[in-house]
Amino acid sequence: MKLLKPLAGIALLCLPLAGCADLQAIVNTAKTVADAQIPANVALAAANGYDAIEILATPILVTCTPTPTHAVPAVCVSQKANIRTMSAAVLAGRPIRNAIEPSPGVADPVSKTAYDELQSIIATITSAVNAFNSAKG
Amino acid sequence: MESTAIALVLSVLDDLAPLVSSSSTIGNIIGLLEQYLPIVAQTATNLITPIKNIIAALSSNSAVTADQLAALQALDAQADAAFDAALAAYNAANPPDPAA
Repeated sequence: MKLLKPLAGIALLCLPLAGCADLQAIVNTAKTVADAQIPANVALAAANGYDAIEILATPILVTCTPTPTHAVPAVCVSQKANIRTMSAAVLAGRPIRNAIEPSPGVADPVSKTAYDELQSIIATITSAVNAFNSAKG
Repeated sequence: MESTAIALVLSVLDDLAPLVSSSSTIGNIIGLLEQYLPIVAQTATNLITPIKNIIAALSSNSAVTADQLAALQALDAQADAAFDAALAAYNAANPPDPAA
């Protein structure tokens, strides 16, 4: 990233010159690579966020599973599609979470694609959990 | 009341976890987490994230032993196992609609 600023400055000066097109391309490539990485500590926070929301999703499944001593509340019927969406999102997020969680002592950056995908999944689960809890009252 | 006390302890552990340099202290913290996690999962889910942060800090601590690392990973896996069991029971009781 430190290299990026001076490179970008040189490229800016070069903009009107056709001969500088290659340098501009190099800067663009460097920027793309830099943007495509998320620091390990930020990614780990997202992985922990996934774990936390997974734990909040679990009691909903338990609440909506009838047992001989437990009848399910009406909200479980009205929120059935929502529960399916939530469950599918939890399962979809797990391999991404596993890939993001670093091995002990390793703090490699994480791909932005994986990070964004996990954030999107967390948002889906959070929305489903909140919708269920709101409907439950 | 119980969750307030646990929150206080977790806050202290969160600060201590990166600084601990003794395997026996790490073992004591893991013991506490093993006690707290089931309580937190039932009654104080807002404390899950601090627990996860402590697990992550201890996992990357150079003083952690192989056995302790396995215990931390087992703690980490509890949430997955609980969800899988709940989903299996839910699916058995609520089979997916054929049209869905």
